Amino acid sequence: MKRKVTFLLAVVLIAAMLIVGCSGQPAQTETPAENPKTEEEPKESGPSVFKYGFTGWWPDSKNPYLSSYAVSTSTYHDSVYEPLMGLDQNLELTGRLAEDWEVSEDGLTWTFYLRKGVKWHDGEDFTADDVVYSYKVNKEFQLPRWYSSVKDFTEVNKIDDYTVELKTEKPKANILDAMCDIVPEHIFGQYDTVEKALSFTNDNPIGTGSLIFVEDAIDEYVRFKANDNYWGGRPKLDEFLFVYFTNGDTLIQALEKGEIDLCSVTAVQLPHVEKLSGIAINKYDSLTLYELGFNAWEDPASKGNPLILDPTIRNAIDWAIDYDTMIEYAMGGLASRQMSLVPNPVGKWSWQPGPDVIRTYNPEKAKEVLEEAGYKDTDGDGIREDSNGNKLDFRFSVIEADYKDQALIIEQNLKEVGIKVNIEYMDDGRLGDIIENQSFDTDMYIWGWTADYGEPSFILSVMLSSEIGGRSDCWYGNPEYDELYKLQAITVDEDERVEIVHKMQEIIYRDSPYNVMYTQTKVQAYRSDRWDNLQQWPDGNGGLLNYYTKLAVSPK
Amino acid sequence: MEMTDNLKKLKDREKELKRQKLKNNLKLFFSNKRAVFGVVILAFFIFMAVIGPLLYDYDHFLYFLGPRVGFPTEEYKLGFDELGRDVLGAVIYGTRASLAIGIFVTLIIVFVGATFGIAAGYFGGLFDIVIMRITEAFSIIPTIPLILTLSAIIGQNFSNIILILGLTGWPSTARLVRSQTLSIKQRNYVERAKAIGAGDIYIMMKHILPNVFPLIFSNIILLVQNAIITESTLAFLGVGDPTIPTWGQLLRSAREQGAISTGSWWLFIPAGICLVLLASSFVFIGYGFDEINNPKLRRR
Amino acid sequence: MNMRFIINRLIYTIFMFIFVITLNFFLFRLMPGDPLTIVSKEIASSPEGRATMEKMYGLDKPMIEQYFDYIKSMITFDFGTSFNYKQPVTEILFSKIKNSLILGFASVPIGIVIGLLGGIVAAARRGKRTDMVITTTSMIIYAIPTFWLAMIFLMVFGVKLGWVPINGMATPGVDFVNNIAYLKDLFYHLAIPVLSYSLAIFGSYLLIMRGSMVDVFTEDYVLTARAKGLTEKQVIRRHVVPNAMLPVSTMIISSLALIFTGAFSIEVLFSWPGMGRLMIESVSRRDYPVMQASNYLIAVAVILANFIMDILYSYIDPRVRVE
Repeated sequence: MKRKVTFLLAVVLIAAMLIVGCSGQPAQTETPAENPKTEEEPKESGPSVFKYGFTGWWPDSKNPYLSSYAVSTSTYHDSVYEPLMGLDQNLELTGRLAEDWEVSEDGLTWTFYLRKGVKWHDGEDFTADDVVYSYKVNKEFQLPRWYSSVKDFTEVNKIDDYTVELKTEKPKANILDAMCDIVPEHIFGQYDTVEKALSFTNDNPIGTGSLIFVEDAIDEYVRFKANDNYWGGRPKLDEFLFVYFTNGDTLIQALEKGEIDLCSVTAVQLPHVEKLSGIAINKYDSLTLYELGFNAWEDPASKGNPLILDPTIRNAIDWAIDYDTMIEYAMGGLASRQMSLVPNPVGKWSWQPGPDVIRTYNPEKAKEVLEEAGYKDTDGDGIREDSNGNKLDFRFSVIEADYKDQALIIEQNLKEVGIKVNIEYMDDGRLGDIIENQSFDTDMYIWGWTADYGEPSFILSVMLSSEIGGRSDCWYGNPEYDELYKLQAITVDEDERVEIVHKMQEIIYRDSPYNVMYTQTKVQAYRSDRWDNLQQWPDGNGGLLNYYTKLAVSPK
Repeated sequence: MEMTDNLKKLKDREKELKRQKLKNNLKLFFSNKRAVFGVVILAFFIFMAVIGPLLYDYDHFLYFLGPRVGFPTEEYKLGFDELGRDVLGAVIYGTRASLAIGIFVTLIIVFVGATFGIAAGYFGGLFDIVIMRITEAFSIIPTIPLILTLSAIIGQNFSNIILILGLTGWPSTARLVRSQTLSIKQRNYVERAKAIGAGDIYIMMKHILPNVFPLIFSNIILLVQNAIITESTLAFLGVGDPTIPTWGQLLRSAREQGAISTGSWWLFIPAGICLVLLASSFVFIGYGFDEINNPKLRRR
Repeated sequence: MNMRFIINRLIYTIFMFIFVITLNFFLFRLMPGDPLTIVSKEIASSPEGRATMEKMYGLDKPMIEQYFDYIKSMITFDFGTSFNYKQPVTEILFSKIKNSLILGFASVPIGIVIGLLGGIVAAARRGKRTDMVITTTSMIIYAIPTFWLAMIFLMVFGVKLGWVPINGMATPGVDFVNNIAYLKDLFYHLAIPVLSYSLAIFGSYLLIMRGSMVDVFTEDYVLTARAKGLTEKQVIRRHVVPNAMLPVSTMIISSLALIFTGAFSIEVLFSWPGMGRLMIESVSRRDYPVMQASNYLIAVAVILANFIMDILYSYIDPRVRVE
């Protein structure tokens, strides 16, 4: 009885706290600049507002040097900030804040000629000081997001107000990797110690980009307006809105009702969305690949089953899995088979296995390979053993939310060829913990990566032995591979570099620390009855949320 | 000799009375149409759980029997899920999972809750205080985040889920048992037993426990219902064991596959109806027992 | 006023406090993975970068230091910065609590009222058909899992009939011209969640109220009232209901706590931006500050309220003091 009246007081107390709290700040930020209030439905005569709907996670930080979520980049950072160079619509290097650049004969000095007359959103001039600051602070304070990209620069020098020089010890082949967002020194510079820099939330981002931050509300929306003075020309739209949804169903509903203009569509929703009038579909090959990963850690401390270290078994598993059916059922058909580490859409960097090494779905071949290697089922229980009686019995850690269907298919496929897997479901935090903090206490898992356009360094780096305990999730260590990686990073001749990158993928395919499964085919839908000139990036096969769309999209 | 004879007569009379009481209670129970209905439904589900798998051959490793989230066909009356598995089979087999969860979770709750409750009520004093504070601490933390946290720590396979549900659900039973124990403690036979020097454990087991049980019986039935529903809610939120199909997981698939918008009713209607029926049956039965214990509930 | 009693209770309260706080801290850190492993795939960083991130989250300090920092923050109500949102936790909590309260204050009173009224009617007509219908219906609805009920309503009213929106609290990205427009929009968004939530809870009230009333019906004073010549309606209104309300009111008060933590599955299903959903998400994101703060707030309020209640009760019921 007491207990119940107790709760009343509890509620009263909390309500009181709430009221006190509510009279304080709302969880929004507003710029001192204009805060245009549109009417409930934007009419023809009002400002044109392009609304992009998204689900998943809400961005984690408005400070481009501290954030870790990809969604923060696609919403805030890419809209407000710019790097020195980027990729154009055909994935060729093009200048953004740098008009031009050159590299010295010995390849150790990069000189960037900055664009003149560019202004920050608060009216200050953009100069070399900002560039120098941006590169220096990331390296000195070891800020999480860009440190590894900029640490190779030994010197960052201001030559004059519009010229900057960056020096390296060795030639840098992947300069694109080092293009960090440039931030205003007059704002960020005040945070001159590591502690201050780490606590700077950057509530009102000021950049040079085509969109100016206006306001946001956590878990609801972010509003930008067109930068009238953008050096690349004013965007055709007046406002750009990112609207947050917590589930995909309502996202599509909003698209249908016209409450948003562009969003991603899942395989399940596609049949429904295709039938809607006034809505167009954009399907493209993404750079997100998914792999069946193995415990490739050869250290005796590893808690994995030692048998899983045998590449023969890993290859056999590759032969045994019916990826096409997996794609059809688990991905609703929206994926493409991928075999090499660098996803096919990255272009020439991606390697294709030749007919003498390629593995396709062939359970009989899988059995053959296992038999020849000495893994036979001697006791008739359906599971193979090696010559010492150790069973091919592996633990399979699966992130329940993302890969449960794939895991079940793999389990079944492997059962057919005499390999037993024990699926344990968990969330991604636990999988990360098992690998990093529990001495890799598992044998197999499924995970994914998103590579970069035009630059294979990132996706190649996940296999480095130096990334064990870092990026790597399979803890593969191969000195030959590591050497090749260092080599390609300094091989400036592109054809040569491509060859090296191909060789690296060949090694991975042979050793199979991953059985790469497929790359995701992504689908977007937009209101073609309201908007024109959305741009694919890369042109012909790419997504619609990008730098070029923000400039070009115009209302009908 | 006379004494033993009389004793025997007393014992016989006791047994006779007990039998009568049982008969009366049963009659009462079965005159409650709703409770009977509940028993019938429960029996149907038990039947489905036991006999179903024998009659209906569902190997839940068989995927790709049909198209992804495919429509019902002649042969597969409830269509397919996202892996092309047979939904009707999943529903039938889900019965076992639901009943298993209901029973085992309740067993844990009753065991732990009754032990703590009786101990606290009987011994009183510091014992009571400590146990009740622990109970209170457990009931303060909001259940669902606690369960999510625990399942992240020890894993979310079937047995762990049962364990977690059991270990988070005992406080209210402990409280109930304790208050019943407190009132029984005062009764004559307990004092008499103490007077002749009976040990504490003996008293608790032989006198208190059997008398507490009928009082909490309807509560126990409701615990089963609660366990089943909570599990389905958890499965819906993602805490489930995909290798053991339960109705809650079917509903989760339904949501993931956008069944509401696309009209794939077979994913969420049958599983939901089963949940409702099975849960309702426990509620009917539970309240039926309530009405036996508390005659005022029956009529004017 | 018994000083010793108060001190007694105070000591106990402090113990509970410490116990819950410590449990709060360690329970979440027992979870495998931490905020860094969650993001290790998002935008991967170098060992140095990860070290910096640990510094940012305060995870580089030894556990003891983290524990004392935590205790300090709990006492001063300065909950720090959310790992996930990089915003002060207090701000986030308050905006979410506000949303949960809106949903709660709209649904729970309705559910309670329906339950009580239904219970009264059922008790008044107990044994008859009306009673059977009412009680059975409420038992069935009580047994339905909340989220499924909500899914059905969603399908019927949101999708098939299209009367109401099916997501969130407000139409996204729209600026409202005035408060009326905002309230109208809010009302539409509240419709099904409130319907689902209030239906989910009314069942137990109804059954308990009915039981309580039936108990009262057999009391002597009811017989007296009837003997005095009062009509049945008067008897019910003046004697039965008020007395039946006593045990029920404690239950009502306990469920007021439901107002902001009980609606987990509803909040998830409808993407209602409330406390429930926040707590669930922060578990999977390993957002320690938010998890700790939200659990802490609830626990503190309950413990404090318990303490105050104990004191108040000792006034009302002298037996308690002797306990």
